[in-house]
Amino acid sequence: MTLDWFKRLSVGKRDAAPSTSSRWIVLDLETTGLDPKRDRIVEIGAVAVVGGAIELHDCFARVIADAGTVSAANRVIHGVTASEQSDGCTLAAALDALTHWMQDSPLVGFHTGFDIGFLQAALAAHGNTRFAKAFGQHHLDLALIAPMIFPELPAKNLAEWSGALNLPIRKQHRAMADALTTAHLLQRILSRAPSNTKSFASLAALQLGRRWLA
Amino acid sequence: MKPAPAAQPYLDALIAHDPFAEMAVADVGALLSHATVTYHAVGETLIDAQADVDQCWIVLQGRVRGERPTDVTVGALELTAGEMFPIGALLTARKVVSRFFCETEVFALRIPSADFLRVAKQSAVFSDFCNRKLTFLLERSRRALQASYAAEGGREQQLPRTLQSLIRREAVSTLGNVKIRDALSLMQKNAIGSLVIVNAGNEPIGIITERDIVPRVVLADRSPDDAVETIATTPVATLPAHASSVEAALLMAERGFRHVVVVDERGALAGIVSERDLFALQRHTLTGVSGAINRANSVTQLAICASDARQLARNLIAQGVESLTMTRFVSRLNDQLVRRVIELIAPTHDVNAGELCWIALGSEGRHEQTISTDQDNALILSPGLSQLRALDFAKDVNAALDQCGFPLCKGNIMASNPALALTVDDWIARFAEWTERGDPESLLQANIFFDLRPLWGDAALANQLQAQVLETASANQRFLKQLSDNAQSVEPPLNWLGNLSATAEVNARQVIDLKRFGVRPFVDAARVLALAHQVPATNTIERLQAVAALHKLQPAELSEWTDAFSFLQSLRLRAQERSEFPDYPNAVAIDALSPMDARILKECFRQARKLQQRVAADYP
Repeated sequence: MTLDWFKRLSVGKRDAAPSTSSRWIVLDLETTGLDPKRDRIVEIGAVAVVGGAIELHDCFARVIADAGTVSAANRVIHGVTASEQSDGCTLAAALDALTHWMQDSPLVGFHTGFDIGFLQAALAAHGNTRFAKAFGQHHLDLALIAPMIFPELPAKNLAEWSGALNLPIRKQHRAMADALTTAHLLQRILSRAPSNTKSFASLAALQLGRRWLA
Repeated sequence: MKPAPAAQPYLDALIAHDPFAEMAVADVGALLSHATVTYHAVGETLIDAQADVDQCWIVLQGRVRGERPTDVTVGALELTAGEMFPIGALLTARKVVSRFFCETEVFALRIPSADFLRVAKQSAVFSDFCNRKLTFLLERSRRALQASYAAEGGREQQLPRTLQSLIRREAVSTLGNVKIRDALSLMQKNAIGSLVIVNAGNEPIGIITERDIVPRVVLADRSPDDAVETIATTPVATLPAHASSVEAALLMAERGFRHVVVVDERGALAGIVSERDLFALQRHTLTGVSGAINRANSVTQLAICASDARQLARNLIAQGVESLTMTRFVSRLNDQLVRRVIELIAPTHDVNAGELCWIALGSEGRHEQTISTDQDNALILSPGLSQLRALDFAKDVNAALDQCGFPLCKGNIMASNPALALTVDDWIARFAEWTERGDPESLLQANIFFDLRPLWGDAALANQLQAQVLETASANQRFLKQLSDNAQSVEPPLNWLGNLSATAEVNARQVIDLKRFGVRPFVDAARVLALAHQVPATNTIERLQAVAALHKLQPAELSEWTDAFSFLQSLRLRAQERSEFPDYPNAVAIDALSPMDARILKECFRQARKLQQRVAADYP
């Protein structure tokens, strides 16, 4: 994998990644808007899921200090306060730490196209064009997979899935809370998926099929 | 330690529950430092019976059930959000007894046992909860109860409090060799009703009160120049400052005092607490009732005292006084009342205290009387006494007690029953017959008569009988086995789900009979243990404590059982006080229980089952 050599650089316990192929990363971003070219990342929240269990200690959370001007209306959406932001780190440092922490673990998200678009743009902007291309090559988008596993539920966005499946996290629209809700949604999907469709590869194939259909 | 960002939302959810609500946040964080969150479908087995455990589970959402494969009816546990399992197996590093599985879909937090044990070591709250879950919940429930009474206002007179907190002002004292005249002017000057006499070390040696002055100085024609110690009441009853207000109330009730002298840890005078300080808002006071009983000269007067005593008991229960204190207090007032009734009636039959012993049986014999209680008594006669004369006397006493609100015993377990007014030798023969026969009727009798206690007359007769009976019973293994089987016969009312199940339906409400299904299993089991180990105590708690002191019970078991028994009694007293089902004084409606009380009650029934199993293990 492209990011393999980062393993050797591991520092700090929380950011140190256990090297296991069953480790999936569930990630969510809060941003200033919807356009990866113009808008900025405000917060990154991610947690590792190993063998279907959410590993609370194996997580990643950063608030980005240099996210440009954040409007009050935008703050209402993602809930990141100005003082939290001023205590945050630079986007460059966050990206370094994130790629380091993730290693070669595949990505899971809700509308992953959005998150991957932002991260690729940011990596490219910081001169990591090589990684930018590889980033998110392997990923599962639960926004596509969940309706295939739970066709009877009318849910569309993450909040609706959380409500329809009675997922335990109540808070929304903070990167970590949404990443955890996505992880719980993943757990429900894994529980209901046929026994031959629980691996990353088979779920990815399912997702691909859905894409072709759409 | 600051929790990992991903752990924070779960930590926020946990701290709504016990014991996490009471723990330092850092300790809850440490508990979650390597936690994982998992999802489980309906019916999934989380831990199999007899499995080794290496992690602690906390239910985040949903319902988990723990079932003992060998005992599906009673061992069931129901665990909901915030509850942990399998605590016992983790703490003692043994295999789990129950199988734990999901009754609904479940999200669970899993904590490596190393973290669980580390936090159990560093957090006193957490370890207290894990080791003494019942005690912990009871303490929370008691605090909630007191808080609710405090919130009512006007009833903020809380019991129990320490005497230290009730001392209003510095006690005025004087040395014993001071002149009466000076002592009285000291009282006058300070506007106080009582004066403590101390020695040179400031230790209380006596007391004088306003009421003493007329009889002891004026009427006794004593010189005001005499030393004050010559008219003081000596010695003086004292209590340590850390004693509770209830202890002071009991002392006052028993001895008819209006003041209790409080001493510090060195025995020096710390202050005075008056009856008024204890029960500022109470119409019926303990000493008032107690004194009235002692002064009563007719059964009619005693009947009024008895009704006052019941009213007082109701008030105290409503204030949340602890149940064991309460039953002890009710028993003492009743003892006093019975003794006064007998004192009034004995002379009319030419009966004197030296020739017989009036014994209390059943709950009265165990000091466990509640508000609603009927008569259980009998007589031991000395050889010379005519049974006919004793029976005439007993008949009058039974009738008088009935008039005082202790209904005649439907089973005729009363001193006026010719079969129950016997000499020590005849009694010993009766007990021997029961122990030998061991049929259901004999066991029923044994359950009542083995809880005997002398109430009036020659206590030596009762002690002689009891010593003999204990020796015979403890040596008869077959009888103990039968008694043990009998003690297992009541199934604690938990259904197959581990939930409370009704034992009857009253007025279309599902109710549980707390006496028969809650208190009795404890009473019966404690009796078997006491007889087997020749423990003379009759009180259930005292019996269990005495057996534990002989190293036949674990201290942890003892505290769980005494707590459970105490809670069942307090719930029963509260039910009687509310009197929702007048014909079923011991019934409590399941839908009227608060969630906390229901949770504790379930735990109490599980403890009842544990105690039964403990006794059964001795007599397989």
